[in-house]
Amino acid sequence: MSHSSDTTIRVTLDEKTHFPLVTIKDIGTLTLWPITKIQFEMYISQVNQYGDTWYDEILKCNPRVSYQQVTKKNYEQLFISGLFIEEVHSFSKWFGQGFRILTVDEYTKIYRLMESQPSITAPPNDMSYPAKKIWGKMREFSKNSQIKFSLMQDGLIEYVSSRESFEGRGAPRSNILPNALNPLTDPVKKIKSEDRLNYLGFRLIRGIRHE
Amino acid sequence: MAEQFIELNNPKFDTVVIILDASESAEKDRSTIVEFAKKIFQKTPADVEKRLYFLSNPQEYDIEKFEENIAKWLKQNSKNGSFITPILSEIKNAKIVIIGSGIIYDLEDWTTSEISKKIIFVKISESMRGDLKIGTEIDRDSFDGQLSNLHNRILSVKIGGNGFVPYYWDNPDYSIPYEGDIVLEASKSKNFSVRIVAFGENIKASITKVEGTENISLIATIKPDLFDSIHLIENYGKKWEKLENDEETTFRKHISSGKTVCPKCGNTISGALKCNNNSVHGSLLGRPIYESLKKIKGFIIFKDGPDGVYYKQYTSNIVKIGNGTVAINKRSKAVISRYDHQSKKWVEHEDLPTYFPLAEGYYVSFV
Repeated sequence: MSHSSDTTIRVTLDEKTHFPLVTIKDIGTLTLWPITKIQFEMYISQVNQYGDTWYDEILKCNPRVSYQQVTKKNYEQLFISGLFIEEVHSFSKWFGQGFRILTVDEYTKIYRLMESQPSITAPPNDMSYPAKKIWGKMREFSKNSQIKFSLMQDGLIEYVSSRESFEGRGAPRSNILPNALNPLTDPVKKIKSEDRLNYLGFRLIRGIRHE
Repeated sequence: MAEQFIELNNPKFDTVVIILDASESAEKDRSTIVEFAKKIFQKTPADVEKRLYFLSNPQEYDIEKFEENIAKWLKQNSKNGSFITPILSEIKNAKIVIIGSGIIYDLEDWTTSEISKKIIFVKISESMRGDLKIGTEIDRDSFDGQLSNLHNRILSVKIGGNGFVPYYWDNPDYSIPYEGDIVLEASKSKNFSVRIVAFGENIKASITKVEGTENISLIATIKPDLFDSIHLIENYGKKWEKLENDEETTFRKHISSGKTVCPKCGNTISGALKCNNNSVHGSLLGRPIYESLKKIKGFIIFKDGPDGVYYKQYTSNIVKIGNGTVAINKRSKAVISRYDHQSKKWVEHEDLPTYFPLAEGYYVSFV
């Protein structure tokens, strides 16, 4: 099932969680939003690796909000954050073959594209129930801004890969990260491997070479 | 008034879904969780479908293999976290019992769903629902007392309808009240199935469960054989028994002359099946003239045949004695009631005579 809002962007669903993916010509297919807690919970419940103690630690840094109760004030809590990079990689493998975090180059191109895109109006019909609810809420919160709807703006800092390492990119609201950042020019570099950062989430892409 | 044959077949219990919390937050309570699960398996009636799951896992486990596998299953599910969505997404309609301890993270996603009303949380140490108003929470100390309510058992069934007068039913757990409107009701039965032959239309059953009442229309069929009293008496209910020889004589004399003599005291008896010579018999209730019927209460059918007089108890409290006419047991007496087509109601008339002829050789009496 696909949906076209523009010749450049096509909306489909991922096979594991039935959340929206966007396929961007010449770049690849990526998750429309940063990975949500709902999606990560599906992973936890299937792999028997994490458990309550681990998830309590994650929620301590960024509490969970239900998609039934989410408001404009707290929608960032829908998304998983505070993961270590190894945990992100493990999730990526489970999510689907070829999925990984975005490169800096991909992030920059997609960010610019989203800035100039008209908003996607209709979701795919067979999207999961939670995804539909989140779609409706985010549509309401972002008005007609595609870059806000995709959470590339007013979302989280997101893991991106930079050569052999990784950094953070994003333009969160000040309640998440007080100092305004330009996602195109201001990376978050100091990501310590032992810190769980409440503002640090991720989205995944399957690059064009894989397809 | 229309006559109907109606069946209420095995009113269904909800399936009971038992979800065990094998997560880290319930680790210290595992032995209690296992013990409580076993109690549910043992105490829930066999005809209630039971399904076993572990929190976070949509795979169903085989209850028959519980004993030998539970340790392995707990381990397999210990690091899957505490999530309910994988299971609730798969279940349409069931009573859900979750036994465990510690917050279920995604419970809030289900607060507006219908199925959430059917969840019972058995809290072993910490609450699984926290401050959320969802389902019902019981603690470990009240578990045993609540065990019979976990499967939303049926508390009672009432059957009634327009002009409803049942004159045969095959489940003795059902009865009609002596006062008020005629309804057929049963409670505390192990099996609420019943087959009914009745006057009436638009007949419905109201099934009251621990949670909620279900009203169902019963499908009526026309079975002319069953609407014939003699056919019904001959083919259903208890077996015929034979009166003793002296009782036969008493019976035939009583029928032919309207009078008979008490075999014990010689007192003349006319309009009753008992001798009321209390000073002799020493009983305020009188002495039955048929020893064979001593233990029977309610309606008796007599059949006078060439090889003797037979009797059988008619187990229902209403007997059809004619078209649109019945005799109703009113505890101390039986009265004749006829359907009045003008008022469209059943109207009570005279008391049932001592021997009311149903057909050639067949009589109904009330003791």
